[in-house]
Amino acid sequence: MEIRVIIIGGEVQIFVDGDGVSYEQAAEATRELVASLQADGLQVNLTTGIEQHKDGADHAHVTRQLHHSH
Amino acid sequence: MPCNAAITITKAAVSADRLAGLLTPEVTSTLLTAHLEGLGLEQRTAASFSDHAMSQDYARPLPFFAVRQNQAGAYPRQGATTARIGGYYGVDIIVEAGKVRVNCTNPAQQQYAEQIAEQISTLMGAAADMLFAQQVEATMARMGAVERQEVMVEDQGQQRTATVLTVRL
Repeated sequence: MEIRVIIIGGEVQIFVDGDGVSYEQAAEATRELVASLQADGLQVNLTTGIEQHKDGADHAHVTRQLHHSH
Repeated sequence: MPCNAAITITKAAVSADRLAGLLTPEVTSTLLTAHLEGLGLEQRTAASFSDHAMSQDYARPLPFFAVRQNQAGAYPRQGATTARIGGYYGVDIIVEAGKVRVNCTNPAQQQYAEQIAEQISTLMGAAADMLFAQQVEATMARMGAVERQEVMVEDQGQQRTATVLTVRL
């Protein structure tokens, strides 16, 4: 599993990827990272849900408006 | 960016106030001192706040400075940090939680003071961003070795620096 975090100013984008990694595993890793950041006093708050962008070999496209802004 | 870049993509943010809170008085002092020294000004002790020497150039204070912490206000406000450039008849650059304001004893020095203030404001913003990224990296380091990159990205028509942190589990 690869967790990639892109930080621009105070904005954070968290990408979780990896062969054989399920959406549930990726979502859990995201939640754990956010919880760790908050526990360390960083007061980081989610501004989107944990969006699913692919699941194994098939691409699951999320049809939420926010998806188009990444 | 292709939308199959990852299994999950999530956005989060920290408030501007929280970012500014990373600029403690100690950090602010260090940044102010480094910047003013970089401009060629001589650092002196706080006693120089009372130095009554006068500059021959009304538009510019004498080329020395001192930095001190003001007495803190009521909790939870942080105390402001003041850099006095040029002694008693000089210019105050006052920084509190990353916000910068100036105070001139001589109106002719206003342009000079505002130029310095703008530089320091930019510096404080960049420093807060860097400190935040460092803290995120420290948190991620508990998961595994973190690979760090600094890249330029286009954000709403402007080029900005982005920090990319990667950990592989």
